[in-house]
Amino acid sequence: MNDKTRDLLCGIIFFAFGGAMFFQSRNISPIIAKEVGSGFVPKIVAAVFMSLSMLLLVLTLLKERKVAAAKTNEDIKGGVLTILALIAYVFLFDGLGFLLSTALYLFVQITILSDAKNRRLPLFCVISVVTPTIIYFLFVKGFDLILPAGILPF
Amino acid sequence: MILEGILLIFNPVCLGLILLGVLVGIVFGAMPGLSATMAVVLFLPMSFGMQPMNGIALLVGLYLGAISGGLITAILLKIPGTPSSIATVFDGGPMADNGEAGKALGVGILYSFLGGLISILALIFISPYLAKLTLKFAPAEYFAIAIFSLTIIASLSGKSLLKGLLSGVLGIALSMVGMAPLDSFTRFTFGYYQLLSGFDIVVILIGVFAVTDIILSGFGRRTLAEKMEKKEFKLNGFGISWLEFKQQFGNLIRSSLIGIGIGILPGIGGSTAGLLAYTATKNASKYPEKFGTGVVDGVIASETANNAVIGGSLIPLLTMGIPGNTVTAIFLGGLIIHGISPGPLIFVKSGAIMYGIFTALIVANIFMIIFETACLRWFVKLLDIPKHLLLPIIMVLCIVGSFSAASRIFDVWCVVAFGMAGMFFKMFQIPTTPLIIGVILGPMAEENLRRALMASGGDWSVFITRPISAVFLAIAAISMFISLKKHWESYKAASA
Repeated sequence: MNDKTRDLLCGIIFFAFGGAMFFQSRNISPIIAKEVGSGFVPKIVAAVFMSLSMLLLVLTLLKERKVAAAKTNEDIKGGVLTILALIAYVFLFDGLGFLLSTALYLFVQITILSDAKNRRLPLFCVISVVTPTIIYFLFVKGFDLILPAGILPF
Repeated sequence: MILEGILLIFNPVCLGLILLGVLVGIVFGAMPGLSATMAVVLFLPMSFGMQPMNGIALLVGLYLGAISGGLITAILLKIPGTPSSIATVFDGGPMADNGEAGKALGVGILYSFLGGLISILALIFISPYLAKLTLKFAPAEYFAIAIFSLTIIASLSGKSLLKGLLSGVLGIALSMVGMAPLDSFTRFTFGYYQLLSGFDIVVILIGVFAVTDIILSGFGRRTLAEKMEKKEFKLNGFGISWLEFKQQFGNLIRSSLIGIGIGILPGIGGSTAGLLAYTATKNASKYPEKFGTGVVDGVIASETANNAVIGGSLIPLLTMGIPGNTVTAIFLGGLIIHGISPGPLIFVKSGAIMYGIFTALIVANIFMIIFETACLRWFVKLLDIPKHLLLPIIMVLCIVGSFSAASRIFDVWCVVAFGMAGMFFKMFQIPTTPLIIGVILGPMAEENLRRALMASGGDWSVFITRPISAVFLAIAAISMFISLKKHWESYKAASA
């Protein structure tokens, strides 16, 4: 994606967002007499949104196209796996409880981020078990905060 | 009475409690998601059973420690431990990347101490006079300050002013989700009850700073190990020379005054103080283009100002009984439980306790600098942990922090969602700082705009006929004009 397409896309998305916001705030009517009401500022913000993104679109279209094909060293698989691991973690956080879900997540995430050279699975296992245990005791026993217990009895 | 107050503090139990407060506070401040408010709330019940002075001293230690702890994670991990440390990330993070983590931390700690100290002195000597002045601030003035503060978006937008502004406006829009100010009209919740209370600033911060970071490191995992080459770390004293200290003297004074000023005004808070001081320093600097690449000026401005808020925020609390932020609101509860009623007569009725509070603040500040300096070397060691091990652990702490803010899984989902949004921001090269500023200042601007208009019966001229409000709006207009001009010149230069 070059600069121009990116800015155009950006402008279009923001413009649509501003439009949707304006549409949503139409029905907010003032409750208190002689007051501008809760819909007033959102409408202004939405209008500013639309005009700024319009300006971005116009300026981008006017700009000379400078082709700069950036070389990417990006690893799509690593990124997607990280996102999936995060989503799975939050999903299991409540169900399995803090200790189990965190141990699982830590192991998976560390493995995703490691490379062939530094992949030492026994060490990863130890970290994945010790970290949540320390956090659990510090937070739940020390600070009296609540963490999901899940299927474990404590 | 002064001596009596000082003596109340200098006994082993009270000193021990202050030390405990400072240590726990620093931990809460350093951990993203755990805030100064939470630290004070957790220990409030414990303070009820103590002697009044001991209980209050504990709370003082917690407050000061929590504000000072945020810089550790802000510099080392580029995740602000508390919202107050947002601006510390801008230059503290790059300094750590350049191998100057020790210096950034040392300077941050020193100036946290100095900012705190100056504000405590202000609290002791000029609080009654300052408090009277702020009584003149009505909604119109608050609105003007919010607008003025919003203009800092223009200075912190990076290359594209338009994208920065769009990001800021999106932040304001995000802050509108939930119940509206004044009439509690439910806005943009799409019938979803979890959204009634809106998005917590902590949730957005953790998402945009921490979660985005880990997702991006997933995309860049091939180079993760390469970035780890060990950097030389040398540190003498606080990492700042006498010459540098003299050069930064103006910065220290300006940032302290901004911090104290923002602290006195109820409802603005440490994050705005840090951002305002950072922008003011950047604009006053001879080398504004270097800001964001790791100049020490930025760290000094942010850390001085956010600690100066502490003394500032206690001024209206103690002299008028007006709590300026959530921490001081809980503090107020603590004082009342112990039979101390803040107000103009506090020096007459509880003079010894007042001087005790002053002494406790100074002692806590000293404990803070001793402890953080002593542990500095261990803090920096954090960076030696390989990234593929450190980042997942940080992520877990962030998830825990976002969950404990309100004990609901919904916030954790939001954190992940904001993390993904942050990733798209990076892809589209949209700066995320303006978004945060919008989220912080949007509600303040809206609420006070509507209050002011209600009071004036819908007459818009109130914003320019009231002098303080007019001055702030004029400064806002001038600063906006200058930024626009700068951006336009660089835009023309780039397209020519």
